[in-house]
Amino acid sequence: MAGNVEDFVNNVRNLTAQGHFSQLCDYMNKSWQVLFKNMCHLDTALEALDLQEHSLGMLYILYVKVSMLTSSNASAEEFEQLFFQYQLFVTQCISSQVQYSTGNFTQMCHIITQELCKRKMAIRGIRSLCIAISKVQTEPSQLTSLHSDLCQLCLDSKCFKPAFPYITVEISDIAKENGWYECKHFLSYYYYSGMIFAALKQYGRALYCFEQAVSCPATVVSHIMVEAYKKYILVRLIVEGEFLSLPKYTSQVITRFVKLFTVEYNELVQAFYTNDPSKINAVVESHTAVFASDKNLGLIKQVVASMQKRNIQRLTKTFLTLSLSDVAARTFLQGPEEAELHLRQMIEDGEIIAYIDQESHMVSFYDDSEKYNTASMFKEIDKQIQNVTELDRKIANLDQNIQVNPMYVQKVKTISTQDEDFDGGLLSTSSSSTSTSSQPLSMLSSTSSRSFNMLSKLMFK
Amino acid sequence: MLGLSLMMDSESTELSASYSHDEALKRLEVIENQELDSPQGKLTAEVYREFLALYLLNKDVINAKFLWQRIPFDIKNGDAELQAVWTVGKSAWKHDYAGVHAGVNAYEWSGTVKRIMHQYKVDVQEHCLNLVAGGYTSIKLQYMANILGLSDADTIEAIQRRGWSYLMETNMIKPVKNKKEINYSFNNEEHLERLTQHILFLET
Amino acid sequence: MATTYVKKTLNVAYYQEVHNKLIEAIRSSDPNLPDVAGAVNQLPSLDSHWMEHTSKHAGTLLEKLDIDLKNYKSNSIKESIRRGFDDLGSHYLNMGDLNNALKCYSRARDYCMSPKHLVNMCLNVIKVCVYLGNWSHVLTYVNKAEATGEFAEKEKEGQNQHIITKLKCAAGLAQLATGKYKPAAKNFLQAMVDHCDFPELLSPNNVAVYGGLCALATFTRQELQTHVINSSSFKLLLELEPTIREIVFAFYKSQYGRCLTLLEETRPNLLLDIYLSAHVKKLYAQIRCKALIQYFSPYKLADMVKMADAFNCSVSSLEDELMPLILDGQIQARIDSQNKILHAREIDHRSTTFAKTLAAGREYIHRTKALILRNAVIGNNICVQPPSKNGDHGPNTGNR
Repeated sequence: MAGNVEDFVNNVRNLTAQGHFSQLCDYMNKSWQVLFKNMCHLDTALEALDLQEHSLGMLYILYVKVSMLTSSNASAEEFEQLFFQYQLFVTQCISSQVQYSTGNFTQMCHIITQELCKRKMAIRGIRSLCIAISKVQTEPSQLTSLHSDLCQLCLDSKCFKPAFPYITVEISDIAKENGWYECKHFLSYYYYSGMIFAALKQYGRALYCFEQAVSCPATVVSHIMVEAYKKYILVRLIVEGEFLSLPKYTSQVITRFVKLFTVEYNELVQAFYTNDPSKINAVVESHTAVFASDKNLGLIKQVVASMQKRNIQRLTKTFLTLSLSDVAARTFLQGPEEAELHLRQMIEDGEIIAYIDQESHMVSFYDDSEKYNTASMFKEIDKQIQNVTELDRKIANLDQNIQVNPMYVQKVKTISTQDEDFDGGLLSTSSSSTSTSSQPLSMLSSTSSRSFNMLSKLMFK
Repeated sequence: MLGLSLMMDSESTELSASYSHDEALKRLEVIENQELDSPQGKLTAEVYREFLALYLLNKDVINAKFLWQRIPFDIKNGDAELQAVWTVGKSAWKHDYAGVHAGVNAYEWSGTVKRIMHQYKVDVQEHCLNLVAGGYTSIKLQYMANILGLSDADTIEAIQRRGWSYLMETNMIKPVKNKKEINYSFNNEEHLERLTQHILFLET
Repeated sequence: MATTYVKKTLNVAYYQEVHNKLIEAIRSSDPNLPDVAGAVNQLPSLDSHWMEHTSKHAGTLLEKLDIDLKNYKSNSIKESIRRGFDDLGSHYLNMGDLNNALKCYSRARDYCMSPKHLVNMCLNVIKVCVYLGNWSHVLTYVNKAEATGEFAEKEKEGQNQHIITKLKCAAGLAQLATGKYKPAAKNFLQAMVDHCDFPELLSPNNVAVYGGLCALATFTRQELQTHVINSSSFKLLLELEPTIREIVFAFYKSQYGRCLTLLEETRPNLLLDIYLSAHVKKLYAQIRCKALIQYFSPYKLADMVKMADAFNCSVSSLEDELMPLILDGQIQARIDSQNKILHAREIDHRSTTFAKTLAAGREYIHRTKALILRNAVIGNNICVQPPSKNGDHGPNTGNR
C-alpha cells in the first residue's frame, strides 16, 4: 500500500521536474483511489514533497485530506493540524502550478470555509482566503467562486472590512475553474455582498448587488434568488422610496413566480406608499414571524425609518417655515420633541437643510444650496466623466469582441441573407447568447453618449 | 478646536498631544491586520479596547458595533474598561451626545485609551458646534451645554469664542451659520488637459 | 308611472323588472300608513295579458322582419338588406335586446351604399353602445362616422351640422365616462345649440352642464376664454343652464368663493345625473385645484388667510390642500407656516440641470456596470437551472 503512495510521490517529482503539468494532472486524476485508500500515509507523502516545487502534487494530497472533513467528524485537534497545513499551503504554493487545477483548489477552500463556519471560527480563514483568491485569479476584476466564501466568512465573523476590496471591485470576468464555477457561487456572492453593504448602511451598493442576484438568467427560481428578491424590495424602498419593476432582462420565471413567495413583502410595499407609519407598523406586526425568520427585521426597521425621513423631506419641499408641533402632526410623530430629534438627525446626516429655532419652536427649511460652481463639485463631475469614459471604453472593447465573434458574424450573415434563404434556426439558437448580450450593448452605448454629451456641455458653461 | 481643548479640564492639557486623524487611521490598520493574522482570530482585551475606541474616534460607529459583536464573549465580560468604551459607543450610535460625554467622563481611562477618549470628546464637541451652526437659528443654553458636556459658564465661553451671541433674558444662544468653504485652487494646466481629454473622447 | 311608459315599447323583460321593483319599493315602505296601503291596492297588477300580447306581437314582428331580411338577401339588393337590418335592429332595441340590436345595426354596415347611410348606421350603433356603456365602441364609431368625410356636402349644411353635433355629443359622453375630461370638454363645446337634438341620449341642457364642468376642470384660463366665454354657440347652450353659466363666469372673474359655493349647491342635482354622478367628485376636486393654482399664479407672495377666505376654508385645511399641489409641481411655491404666507419659488435652471444630469450619469454607470457583468455571466453560461440528477461530483478531472 505504502508503495503505491511512494510511486505517486515519485511520479509527481519526475513530472514536475520535467515541467509536464498537464500530464501530471492526468496522472493524478487517475490516482485518486490510491490516495483515498492510504489516508494514513498522506502526511509522509506531504513531507516528501517541497511546497514551492511541487505545489500541484501537494494540492491533490491536501485535497484528499480536506475532503475527508465532510464525511468524518474530525476532532478539534485534527482540524487544527489540517487547517495549519492548509494555511501554509495557500500562502506558499505557486500560483502558476495551482492554476492547472483551480477546480480542486477552490473545492478545497470551500470545504475549509464551511468547516470554519461550522466551528464558529470564521474570522481565522479570512486572511488565507484572500491569498487564495489572488492565487486563482488571472486579474483582479475576475470573479472566482472563492469570493462568495470570503463574503460568507466576513458575514459570519462580523468583520466586513477585509471583504471590501472584493465586493467593490467591478467584475468584468468570471473564472471558469475547470467547469467548477456554478451559478450558486455567483448568486451567493452577490447575495452576501449585498448583505454586507446593507449592514454597513451603504444601501445604494447593496441595491446593485441584490439586483444582480435577482436578474441572473434563470429557468427555475432558486432559494437564494427569493431571499435576494426580498431584500431587494426592502433596500429599494430605502434607497428610492418606491418599488416599480425589476430590470427588463430579468428572467420571466422570476418576474412571474417570485411574487408568490413574497406576499408579505408586497403588502409592506403597499403600506409604504401610504406614508403612514401606523399602517406599515401594522403590516410588520402581523407578519413579524415571517420577517423574523427571513432575518429581515433589521432592514424593515430601516424601511420604516426611511419612510419617516421621506415624510419630513416632503415637508421641506412644501414649507418654508413650520412649527415643530406641525411637523410632528404632519409626519405622524409623537410630539414636538420627537420631531426635533428627527430633524436634528437628518440635518446632521445632510439629508435636509433646515434650521431649528428653539425660541419660537419653529423650523425653517431651505433648498439644496448647491450651486454647482465650487471646485469640489467640479472635481466630482470630472470624476464622473472619467468614470463614464472608462466604462465607454470597456463597452467599446466588448462590442468589438462581439463583432469579431464568429458566431455573431454568422448570425448577422444569416439575417442579411434572410430573403434568399430563411434557414437559420439552428444557428440562431446557438448564437442567441451572443445576440442577447449585444442588443442591450448597442442600445446602451447610445444612451451613454447622450448623457455624456450633456455632462460635458454643462462643464463648459 | 484648539481653543476647546485648552479649556478642557487640567488633565487633558497634560496630554495635550492630540491624537491626529492620520495617526488614528494608521493605528487602526495595524490592529485590523493584527486581528486577521492572529492564529486564533482573537486579540487581547487591551488591544480590543484601543481598537474599539479608535473606531469611535474615526466616527465609524457601524464598524465599532460589529467589532463589539465579534469580540469573544469571555473577553467582553471580563473587562470593565472595554464595556465602558462600548457604553460611549452606544450613545454615539443613538446620536446621544450628552450620553457620550457622560460616558467618557464616567470612567477613569487607562493609557492609550485615555488619549483616544479625550481626543474623541474634543471631536464630538467640535462636531456638535458644527451641527448647531448648521441646524439651529437659536438654541437653549441648557441644551447646548448638554451636548457639549460642559457647564453653563464654560458653554457661554465656548460659544462666544466662536462669535455667537448669548441672550441672558431668553436663555438662548444664537449661532452663526457656517460659511461654505470655497476654494478655487485650480491647477489650470491640469484642468485644461482634462477638458482636452474629454473633448477628444467626445469627438471619437 | 314608468310601467305605463314601458308599455308603449315592446320591452317585455324590462317591464317585468320595473314592475318587480315597484312592488318591492312599496313593500319596503311602512304598510301601516293608510295611503301606502291604498297604493298597494291600486298597484297595477302585473299585466300578464299585455305581456303575453306584446311578446307574441314582438315575436311575430321579429319573424316577419327576419323573413323579410332573408328575402332581401336572396334578392341581394343591398339597399333593402340594409334597411332590413336597420328595421330588425330597431325592433330589437324596442324589445330591449341591446346586444342583438347592436349586432344587427353593425351588420348593416356591409350593405351601406352611400356615406349618408354609413353615418346613419354609425349613429345607430353609437346609440346602442351608449345604452350598453361600451364607451370604446362609441369612440370608434364616432371616428368612423367622421371619417366618412363626404357627408359635408354643402347643400345639406343644416343637416350635417345636426349630425356633427350628435357625433360630438356622443364622443364627449364617451370621454366623460372614461374620465378623459379634457377631450370630453372639447367635444361638448363643439355642439351647436340649434342642432342639439339628440333626445335618445342627452338634452342640450346636459351638454351645457357637462361641457361647462369639464372645461372648468381641465382648461387653462386662455382656453376657457376663447372656447367657452367667447364661443357664440356654447354661450347659447349655457343660457339653458344659468347656474352653470354663473359658475363658469364666476370662475373666470376669479370670484372663486362664489364659484365654489354655487358648485356645492348644485352638487346634489348633478349626483342624480346618470352620466355625471360617478365623476362629480373628481371634477369638483380638479376644479378646486385649478382655482387654487389660478388664484396664486399672479402672486409672488400670497396671504394665506385671505386665500383661505376666498376659498371658504380654514388656513390649516388650505395648507393640506396646497401640499400635494406643491409636491406635484403644479404650484411652484413654499408655505411659510409661521407667517401664513405662500411664497412663489424661483427655480434655478442651471442647478436643476446639473442635478438631473448627474443623476442620469449615475444611472448610466449603474446600468453599464450591470451590463458588463451580464456580458460575463452570459459568456460563462451561468444560469439558474434545476439541480442535475448526478449531483455527486467527486474529485475533479479537468485541466486548464
